[in-house]
Amino acid sequence: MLSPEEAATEVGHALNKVLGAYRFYAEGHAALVEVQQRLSEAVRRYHEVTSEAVVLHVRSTVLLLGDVVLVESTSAKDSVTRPLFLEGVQEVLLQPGLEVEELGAFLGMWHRALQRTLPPEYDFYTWFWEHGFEDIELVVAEVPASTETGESAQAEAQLAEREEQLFAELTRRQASGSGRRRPVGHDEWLARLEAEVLAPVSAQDLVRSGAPAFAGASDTEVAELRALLERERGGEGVHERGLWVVWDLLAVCREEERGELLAWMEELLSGLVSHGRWAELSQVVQGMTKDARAAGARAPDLYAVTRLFFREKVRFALAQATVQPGVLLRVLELLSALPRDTLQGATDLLFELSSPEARGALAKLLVRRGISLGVLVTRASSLGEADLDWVQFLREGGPEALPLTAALLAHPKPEVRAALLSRLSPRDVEVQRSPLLKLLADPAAGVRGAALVLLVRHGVEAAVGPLVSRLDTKLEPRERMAVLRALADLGGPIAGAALRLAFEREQDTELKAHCARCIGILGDPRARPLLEAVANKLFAPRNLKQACREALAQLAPVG
Amino acid sequence: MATATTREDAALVGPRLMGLVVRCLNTVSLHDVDNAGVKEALEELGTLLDAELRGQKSVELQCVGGIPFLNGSRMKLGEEHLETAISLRRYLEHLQVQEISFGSGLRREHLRGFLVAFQKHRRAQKPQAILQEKLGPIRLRDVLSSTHVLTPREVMLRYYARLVVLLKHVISTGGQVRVERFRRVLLRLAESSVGHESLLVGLTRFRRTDVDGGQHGAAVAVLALLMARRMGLSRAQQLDLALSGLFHDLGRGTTTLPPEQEFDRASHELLARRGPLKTALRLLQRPLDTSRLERVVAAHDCLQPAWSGPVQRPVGMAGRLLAVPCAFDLLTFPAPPHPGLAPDTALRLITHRAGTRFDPRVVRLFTAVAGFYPVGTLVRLSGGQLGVVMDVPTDSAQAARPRVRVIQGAGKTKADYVVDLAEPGQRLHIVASLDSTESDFNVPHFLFS
Repeated sequence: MLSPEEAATEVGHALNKVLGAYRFYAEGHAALVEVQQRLSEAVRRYHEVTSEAVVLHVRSTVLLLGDVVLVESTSAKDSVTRPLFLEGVQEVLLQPGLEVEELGAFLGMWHRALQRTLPPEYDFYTWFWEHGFEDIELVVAEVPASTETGESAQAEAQLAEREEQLFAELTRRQASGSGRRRPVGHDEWLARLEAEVLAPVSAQDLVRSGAPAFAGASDTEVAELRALLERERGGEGVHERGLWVVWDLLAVCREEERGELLAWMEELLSGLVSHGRWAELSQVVQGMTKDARAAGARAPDLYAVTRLFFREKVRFALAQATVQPGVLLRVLELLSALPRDTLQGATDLLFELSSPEARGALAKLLVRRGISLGVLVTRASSLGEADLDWVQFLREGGPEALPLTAALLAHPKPEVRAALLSRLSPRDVEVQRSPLLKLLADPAAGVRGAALVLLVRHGVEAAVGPLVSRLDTKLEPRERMAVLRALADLGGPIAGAALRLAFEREQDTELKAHCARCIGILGDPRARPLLEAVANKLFAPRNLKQACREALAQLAPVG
Repeated sequence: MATATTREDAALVGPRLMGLVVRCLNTVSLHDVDNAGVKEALEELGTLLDAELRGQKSVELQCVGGIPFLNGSRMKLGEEHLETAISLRRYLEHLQVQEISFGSGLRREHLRGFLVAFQKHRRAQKPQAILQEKLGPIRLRDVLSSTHVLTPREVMLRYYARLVVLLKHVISTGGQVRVERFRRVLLRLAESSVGHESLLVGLTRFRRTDVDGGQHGAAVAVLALLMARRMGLSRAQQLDLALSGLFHDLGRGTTTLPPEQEFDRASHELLARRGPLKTALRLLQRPLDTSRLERVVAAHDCLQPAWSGPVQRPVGMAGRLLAVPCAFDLLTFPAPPHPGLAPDTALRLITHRAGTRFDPRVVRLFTAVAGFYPVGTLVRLSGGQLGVVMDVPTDSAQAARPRVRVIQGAGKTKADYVVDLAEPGQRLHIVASLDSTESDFNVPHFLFS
């Protein structure tokens, strides 16, 4: 059989081990659970030996059980008892029957107090109290407010003094200040009461009748209220209701308070957006719009709030949300509920959406609401090849059609320019002639080729000049061939002259033969002497002579 | 002036006396009574007591619930005194002594005798046997002799006063709201009010001399706490609801209307509606914290049904719960010098507005908690007596027949007795309730004394 001192020492050992273990293991770790179990057993043994509660006396540097020192540290600062001691905890009573879970929870709290990681707005004692332990009790003394409260010692003393005064005042038999009653008119008085509780007061309400219409609250009703309150406490809907609160507060705020309110609003909106509360958001927006329609004075508030949807934070959250499947429609639904003027800011969102489908859908929405998308012209370089599909409808009609196509033709990415060329309609080719001609000298070969094909297909004769000048530059043989062929297809005296010149100057047999064939296609009679000269040459390459002969056959007869 | 000096003295002498007593008990538990160290400590104690006893019959050192008192007044302790206060408690509680009274005619032998007795009993089986020792002018008591020491009711009152002062301080200085401090005071109030629930309503019935945001907030908090308790909420929920009530209107009392607007309803209404805004501006910080946001939402919802435009908004339960005590308090104590309604009239008005302005279930809960004549109501009885309602009848059929403490007999004679109006055969009944400004009595005094 253990002596009480031995049992106490055992509790001390186990307690030290648990408090030490918290430094190395996370809550719930097997090693921690094991030492907690051992402490629980030690406590139980102490209960058996002494048949009394374990009373841990908390001192600034020491923890005592009876006269046995359980934990001792050299300085108050490092003491494990410090957070408890500073809060006035004098004794911790562990009653017989204490379960290991409860003990674990308590030690966890203690550890968190030591680490200063208690939940905000709580100190050790309040947290302990709210937890409601069954077999652990604390004896807590009144302590002076801690120095960390942010109040100076003088302010604290003043508060204590005022408390003393108020206490004395409250316990006095006769009340003071009763003579200060001012006679006021009945109507004024009623108006005042109404204003205080924001409810109409009728004279009948104030009749002092002795008949009480008194009904107590039934237990079921009380349970119902409790259930409602508990559901609310889970944080459900608090952000949504927060939006309403801020909306209502905007109605009574002063100009200098507005910025802060709008900042809260922005935070709440981005929170709801990132949690995907679309239905609630739509409801709130619709409600605000209704309010603003009913009271014109609220219109500026509505614009200020709805504009927040396109401020960086919320915009980003919206763009992120559309990545998930099925969300785009909800976002569009929400945006379509916003007032038109607000949507002016939505163009920034357009560029933040990652999928072209989303961008297209938003652009359509904006156009439908009459928002100018002129910004696309200036920011055309932000669009990609995939955007050309949805941009198509904007290029086909509307005020931005021309400048937008032109801007896209000047897009920095060659793939976009090339892809756009393949989508141009005859009308576009006609209207965008000069940018297209410029593309003949585009640095990207693919773009030049596509432009060439397009212009030839649509028989744009104005392309001849630029093409002729292209011949003066150094070109790949294939491209040179294509240019020559294009000149032949486009025709005209300038093209003919250029082909003749090219035929004369060309040194490469293959190209020269191609030139001859092009002259044949063009059917320029003025080239006959040139062709004949080559065709009749004795030592000319065979394929060249053959090409010249074929071309001569195609030429129109002289005269 | 004299009171001020006494208070100052207590502030100085109390901790010194406590320190010396603890020193004596400390040394005597380690050494013999005739040890030089003990003698020295004893001499110092004797000198101090001699000086103190010159002006009074006895000096009483008390320790209740770990809080030391001198002659019934609480000592003001700094952090440096904590260890000593704890030691005093350890020694006295072990002996089951709450008070050491040093009477006049005290000599060093008496003090020595006390220390010897202490040595003898502290290790004994029954240390409380020290109470039976004859120690001359030194008397040890296991209950307090002096009426100055706070009763549990007074403790309640003190914490309420602290709540009011702290809240008023926060409202008037515009400093940071440190919720944990308020939570602690509310916790103490909640703890001390167990078994005295009806007195919590009484706490809110104090006359206010000016527009007092502190009193209003504290009153709503206390009433909310009571309702939460009746609803059987957990401790954490009780305190949360009470805290929401406490901070529901941090704007009250900060702005006063100019005289020309004093009777203008619209100005008052705007002022009332700006209350939650002030709360929000004081409580909320970015990034928003859910629990604080909940408090702001409750503060707003508390006024909201009267306020909403064409769109029906979701009104939170916390807001509905706070709306009733808030309205009750504002009706009974509108800003002075406007007279308030009598509590039962206010309650009747609120009941009439159940279903429109207030949630009828909450109104029923509130009436069940506060009673038809709320505790602290000043009433005139059929015999012409004036009394204060003391409790809430548990049987709702007897709602209008509470226990009443008669404080003025018929014909304005002095009286002090309690009648239970629900008692069979009791002929007295309540004729009318009086509003708080109709008499000079400080009603709660009678509740808490």
